[in-house]
Amino acid sequence: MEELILNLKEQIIDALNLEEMTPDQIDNDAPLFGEGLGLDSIDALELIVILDKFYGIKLANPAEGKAVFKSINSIADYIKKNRTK
Amino acid sequence: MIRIVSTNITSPLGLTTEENYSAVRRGETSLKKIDGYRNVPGKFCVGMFSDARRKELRLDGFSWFESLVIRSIREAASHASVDLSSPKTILILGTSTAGIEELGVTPDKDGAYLAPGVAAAKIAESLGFVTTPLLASNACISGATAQMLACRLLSAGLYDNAVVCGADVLSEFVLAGFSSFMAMSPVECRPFDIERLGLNIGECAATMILSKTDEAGGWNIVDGSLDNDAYHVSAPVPSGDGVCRTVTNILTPELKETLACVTAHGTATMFNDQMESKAIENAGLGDLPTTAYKAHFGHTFGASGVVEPIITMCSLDEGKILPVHGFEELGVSGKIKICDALMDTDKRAFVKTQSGFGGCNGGVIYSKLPQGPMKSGEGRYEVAKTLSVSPTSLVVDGAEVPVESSGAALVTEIYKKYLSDGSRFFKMDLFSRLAYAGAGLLAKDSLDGTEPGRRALIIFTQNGSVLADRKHLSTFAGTEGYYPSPAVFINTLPNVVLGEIAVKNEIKGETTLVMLPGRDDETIETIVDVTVRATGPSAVIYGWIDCDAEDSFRADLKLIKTI
Repeated sequence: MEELILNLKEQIIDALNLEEMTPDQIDNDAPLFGEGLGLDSIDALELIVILDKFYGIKLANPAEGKAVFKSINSIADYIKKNRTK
Repeated sequence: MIRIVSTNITSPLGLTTEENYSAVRRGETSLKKIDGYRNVPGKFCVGMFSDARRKELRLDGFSWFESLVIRSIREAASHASVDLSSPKTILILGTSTAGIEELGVTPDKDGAYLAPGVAAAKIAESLGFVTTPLLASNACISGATAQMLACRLLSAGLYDNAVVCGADVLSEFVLAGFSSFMAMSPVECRPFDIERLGLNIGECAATMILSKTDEAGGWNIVDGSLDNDAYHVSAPVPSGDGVCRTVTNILTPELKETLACVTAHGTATMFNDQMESKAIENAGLGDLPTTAYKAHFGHTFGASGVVEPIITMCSLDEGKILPVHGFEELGVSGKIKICDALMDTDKRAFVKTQSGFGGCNGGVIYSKLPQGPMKSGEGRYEVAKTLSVSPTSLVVDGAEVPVESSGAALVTEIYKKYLSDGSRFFKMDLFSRLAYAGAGLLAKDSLDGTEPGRRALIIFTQNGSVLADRKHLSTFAGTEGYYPSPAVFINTLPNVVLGEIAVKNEIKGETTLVMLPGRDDETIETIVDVTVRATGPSAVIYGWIDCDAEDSFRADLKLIKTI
């Protein structure tokens, strides 16, 4: 799980261009949207691309993403349960 | 007044205005379900020409986009006595992508991709124009923007005729981008309906030939207004305030009495239709029938602001208001009356609303009643601040500011030193970064005391978003799989950065992006001059921003304010 979380953070930093941010600066439980990392709706779509590209998970309905994208931990849990690659 | 002397619609429904109107009147649609398109997987419903039809209509030596535009203009010009080769006739295109489908496919004769403004010059030359064309790239309101540019240039007496053509074509580039935005409906779209699932993409070129005249008879553009939500680059402000303002800015009680209907944008996305219903209600137009045509043509982007008013003109000419195809049950909370069955009317005027990425909105009023001249202000302006950025220098008010880095890093240095505002800066392409940092530094502490609604932003460019275009193309055209990035795609619309700047600096007046065949300071000053005369802003940020490689860019911006 730790490896998955580290990979995921690196993929997010890269895809969302979180300039000068390192994986250890992202709190596993902190909210990703609004406060915390301050991501927005376009970033949410980018997270959907990450799920597809690296883990083979197709999230067809963006509304589903709301619960999944709460925090790094919630995304990692979801990946663990649903990954196809 | 500004008269529409001739029109054309070239779409999958027909090659003339009459053919298209007849098809719409019969309830026909160009929308068809397809399973994937070239490299783009997925189930789509699109309004496109068949491959055979494309082949038949494509002109030798021209891209598909150029071919459609040329055909549309030729047909419109064939029934108007307007001399395209007169020095007093100008071509103004409105498009969001301008034939971007050629980016990775068909280079021009010199082996390079034609920037949209350069493609406009090629089109102009082939049609015999002798004046430099303009190309408004303001996402979905490009068509309205092109019409406003035309009206202002004609009103100022600089030209006698303007040929306005709004056009966009369907391509992998656009489909891939919108599929990453998850905004497309796999079935025919249903504007304002409770079961709407999103938009369909369509392709079309539509032309209006405009002339200044004092003679009665015929359709006129009464007035128009463009503004920015200053809310978000891709999501419209939920209150619909931006669209509402574009209407209330130009609608007088007398004009309102003459209106038959509202021709809405009605893209059938959840957000647009909801927002637009609030805007129409709050503009005081909830009691008029609202109609929309996206279920006939799909969303034709740059063409939509031209083709849709033309259809309403045809319907009002026969005393009818057409129902919204696909609509059954109201699915928006604004108190509006969606036209759900063919209606009779004796009125001959209407409002067209539209809004798009970059937070931009447009409202235009068309009428068959005689009109006075468009309003024109006498405001005087002075240059309050200037700024230039090159790969090696930053110059503010004529004085060199010491910098430590060069190239793209210099743009980041400016952002970090002077703005560092937690914005989407690092997610932008270089063109957007340059515009954001440059305009941001220019605006910093300089807009105080001006009303947000009277702040304007007009950017001129040649290459626009070409770096983002190439990057977007590489995400789905390569061999590593199909993963278009929404963050990259949004930057392929060069006006999106205007939205970023508007959000940051609370610019709620007009924001416009004009693409030119090359840098031309005289044209820039002329357009800014006619724009401020027509709209009377308190402060305008404008200038040239261009970028064709990571180490090749230039920004020369000015802030002018009323004296």
